[in-house]
Amino acid sequence: MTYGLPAARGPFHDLALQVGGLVAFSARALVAAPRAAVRGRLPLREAVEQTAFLARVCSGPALLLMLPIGVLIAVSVGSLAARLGAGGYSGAVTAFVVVGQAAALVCALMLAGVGGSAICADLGSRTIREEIEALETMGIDVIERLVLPRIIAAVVVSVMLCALVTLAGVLTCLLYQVYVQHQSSGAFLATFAQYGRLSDFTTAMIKAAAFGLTSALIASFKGLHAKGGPSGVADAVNETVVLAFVVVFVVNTVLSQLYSVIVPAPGAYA
Amino acid sequence: MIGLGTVGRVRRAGLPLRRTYDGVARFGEHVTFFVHVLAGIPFAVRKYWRHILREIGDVSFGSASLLAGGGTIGIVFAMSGVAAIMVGVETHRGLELIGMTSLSGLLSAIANTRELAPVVASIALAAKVGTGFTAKLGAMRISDEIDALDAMAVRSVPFLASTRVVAAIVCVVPIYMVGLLAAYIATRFTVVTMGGDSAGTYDYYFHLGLGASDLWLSLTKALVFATIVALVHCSYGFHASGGPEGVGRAAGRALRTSILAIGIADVAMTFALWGIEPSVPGLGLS
Repeated sequence: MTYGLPAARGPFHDLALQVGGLVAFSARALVAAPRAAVRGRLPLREAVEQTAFLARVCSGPALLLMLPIGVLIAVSVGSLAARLGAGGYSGAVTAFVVVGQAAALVCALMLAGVGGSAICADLGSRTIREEIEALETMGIDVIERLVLPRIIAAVVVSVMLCALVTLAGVLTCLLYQVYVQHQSSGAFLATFAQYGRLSDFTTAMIKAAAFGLTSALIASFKGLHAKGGPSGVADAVNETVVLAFVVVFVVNTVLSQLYSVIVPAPGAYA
Repeated sequence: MIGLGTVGRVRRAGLPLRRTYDGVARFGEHVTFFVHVLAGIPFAVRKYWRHILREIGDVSFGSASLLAGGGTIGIVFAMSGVAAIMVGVETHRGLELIGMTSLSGLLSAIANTRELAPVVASIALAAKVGTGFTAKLGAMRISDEIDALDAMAVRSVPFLASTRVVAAIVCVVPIYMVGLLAAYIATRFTVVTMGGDSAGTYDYYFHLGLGASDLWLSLTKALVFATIVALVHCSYGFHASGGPEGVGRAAGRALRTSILAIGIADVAMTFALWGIEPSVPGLGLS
């Protein structure tokens, strides 16, 4: 089969078609994963290549972006807390903000923006050159051969990058607190260890995996449905980025809310 | 006589050097382009104001064919609202530690105004409008339309890039305000309606933390970010090469560069505008 949606009648019909298409595509891709694994047909070589590519494209910018954000968090949270007489708690607050939110979001921005647009540009240009249809004609399952390795790569890179970015963010905050604001590193680390929990970190990892999955799915969907020459590919990339950002922000809030409901905060009320 | 192997080895040794050189050259190319675009703004406003008006319509509402309807304003509203819900949840959790949840309103006023609203609005602008710029200009570049403009003696940089930069700067003001409004509403909803805190206490501390000067400075931030975003994305589109895939990749690279630039400019402007020790006039912390 080829990829394409029926012509839309009006914007609302278009929206419904796109959402339905995306959900159906995601379901097919997610069902294809265990099936390919059971039959031993996972394209591992392609997955490794894609992982290396995504890691190369995303890591540098993500780490660079985390440095200013780490400083910003240390400034706004740390010094305000110090003004309120709670300077000792800045470690704990940093733990919340960096580990819980900032690291996963930086990963998401980079994967959805940079990784997603690369995936979409690659698949989209293959679509308009009719390479995808050629593959389908030869009886090769495009989802298994092209989409699955990209999803695997995005999830793996997202999780690893999240760990790396978390480390960079916490280190930045610590160094800023110690060398610029002249607070004690012991107090920072003590509150960090006291209030930062393993479950915070695990949740960040789960979030990062979810972000990787959604951005890869959206990028592949839009890429395979590109049409209409070079500007079609460019439009597909544009829509990928917008859709991925919005979906990632929503997923992040939903997961954060769920987490704070399931695992109550430690402290006086625990 | 130097053997071929030696030549290859010398070339390979020179590769990192050449890459660095290429990187610096490309950076210079972009900066030169920025200067040309900014210098072309008066000319564009005088000669191409009709195009600027059309671009403004495109930027704020988007073309109808795009998914994620509602245009840029809708996207900024959604992203700011969702991010602000997160601020509500996290500040509540953090303040619960020290038993000062009553200060949630203060943190909402400070965090949303100073950091969140300008950054989220400009990231959404980069994603929606910026990638659109790169896509449009890149497609024009690889189908030789820009060269055709130059051949017809139309000044392509003011005509294509300066008009878009002006449109982005004009549009970011209402877009940013919608985002800020969404952020305030969402944080208050999270803390008061869902968290069950006192509405009066929240409002009292919210107004204590919110100063008029903060709003102006935050708007300045949004304007600067919008200029950066428009310049970077236009530049990557203008210099795109390598067929359809090249345009797509240029869009990704432009997004990476503009997000990084927003991050760095944000820290620099926070320090410049509010000082290394942030001041809160309402609380007497200056």
